[in-house]
Amino acid sequence: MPRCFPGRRLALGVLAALAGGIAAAQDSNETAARDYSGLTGDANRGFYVARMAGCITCHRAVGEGESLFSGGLPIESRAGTFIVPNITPHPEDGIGNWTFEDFARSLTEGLDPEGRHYYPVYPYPFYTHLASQDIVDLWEAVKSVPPVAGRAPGHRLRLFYRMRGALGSFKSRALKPGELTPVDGRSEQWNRGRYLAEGPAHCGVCHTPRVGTMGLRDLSRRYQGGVEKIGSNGPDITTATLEANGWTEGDLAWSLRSGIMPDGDAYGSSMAEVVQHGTRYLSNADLAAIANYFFNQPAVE
Amino acid sequence: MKRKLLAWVALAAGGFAVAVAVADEGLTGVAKERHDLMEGLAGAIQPMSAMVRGSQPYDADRMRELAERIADSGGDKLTSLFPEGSYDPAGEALPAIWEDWDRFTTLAGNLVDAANAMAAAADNPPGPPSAGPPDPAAGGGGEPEAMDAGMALVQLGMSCGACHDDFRKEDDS
Repeated sequence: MPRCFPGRRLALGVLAALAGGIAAAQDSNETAARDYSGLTGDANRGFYVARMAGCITCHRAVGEGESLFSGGLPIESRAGTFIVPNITPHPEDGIGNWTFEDFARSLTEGLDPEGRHYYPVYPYPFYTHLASQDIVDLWEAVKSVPPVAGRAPGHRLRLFYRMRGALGSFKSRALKPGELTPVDGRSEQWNRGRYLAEGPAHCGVCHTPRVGTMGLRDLSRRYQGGVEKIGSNGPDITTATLEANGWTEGDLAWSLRSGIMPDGDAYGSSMAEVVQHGTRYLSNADLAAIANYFFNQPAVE
Repeated sequence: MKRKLLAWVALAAGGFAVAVAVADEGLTGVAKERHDLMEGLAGAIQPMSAMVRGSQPYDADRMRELAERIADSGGDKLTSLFPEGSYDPAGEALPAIWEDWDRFTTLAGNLVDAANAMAAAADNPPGPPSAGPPDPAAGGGGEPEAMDAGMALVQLGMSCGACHDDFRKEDDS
């Protein structure tokens, strides 16, 4: 089937990340025990999760006549060009032969069904914090779309970044598996915002600086702005900076709905795509929660 | 116009002309004209945004008038300010505009459509904030059938963003 690859780039440099030069692959982190028993998935809720987690932003239909989740979007990064894969339920070309356990493990451990590491352009260091219910719902949504034949072409990566085994070293430091525990003394709204920001919405991919060869996020400078040479240079969105720029919680929530900033300007670059395909579908309560979290960020950890 | 006047006042005052030039990023000619057009769009969006959010009283006539002003600034009016060979590294317009001119003109046309839809929806003020977003249950991407001013403004904002996404220099701040 024909595939359309528009020349547009989702400027996520991100994953750069990969352990350059570190040859020794390590085993993945110990598995965070998850118990999905007793949970029932719902496809409609799953589509909502797919919006809030940005699944649809990257796995969207990329051209005329293309389908949701059929892949093909090129993502430029320092490592080269990643091509978003087909995740429709097609048995050969998509993930139709996957079990739920395969799917859950890919999200929470960054491993494919054969146990190989995914590049963290698939932001599993964030998705590992997904609530089990959200994972179960997401699975129903992914299974509900029509299967699409045809694989996206492989990633076009620079030589240095082709050693997938080396990713184990990155993961041993970047992946802190498991659900987030709510912070005592903070409101339910704030904890919901923290869950969304630190988990599914993966704001830190672009807004937290990365350091070192592996491009690990520097959590002591959380949300102080991404580093250009590694990836998308998301601006500083710390509480102090947002306030210094005259933003309010309402401004932030509205900008995630509309792409419109307080001065009447509109987001561009990757943030326009984040809003267009993701955050504008979120409930007012969820957008308010995200804004509440960003305006009440904890002191540096 | 206002800006030009300001510049003269500054010049007369002495010493401030440079500051004014810097504020305009040193743009001249058509590059400055398109910069001013974009500023004008933001200047219209801002009060619309305030009305939709309820931080200013909702005024349907004003909403429609601002939307029509945006519609007049889009399409051919907008693309005419990007003649071939007018790339200016001091401005925010990317060379991609001229490499993908068809898409650029399509998006400039979409801006007119979104602004006209906004004008048409001006008489339907947005519901209370609790009314919420499009129903994600509708395949994760459904839109309600009757467009209110809030939804129309979101669409308009998306129209701005679609063009900024590919054709405007990324803000490094």
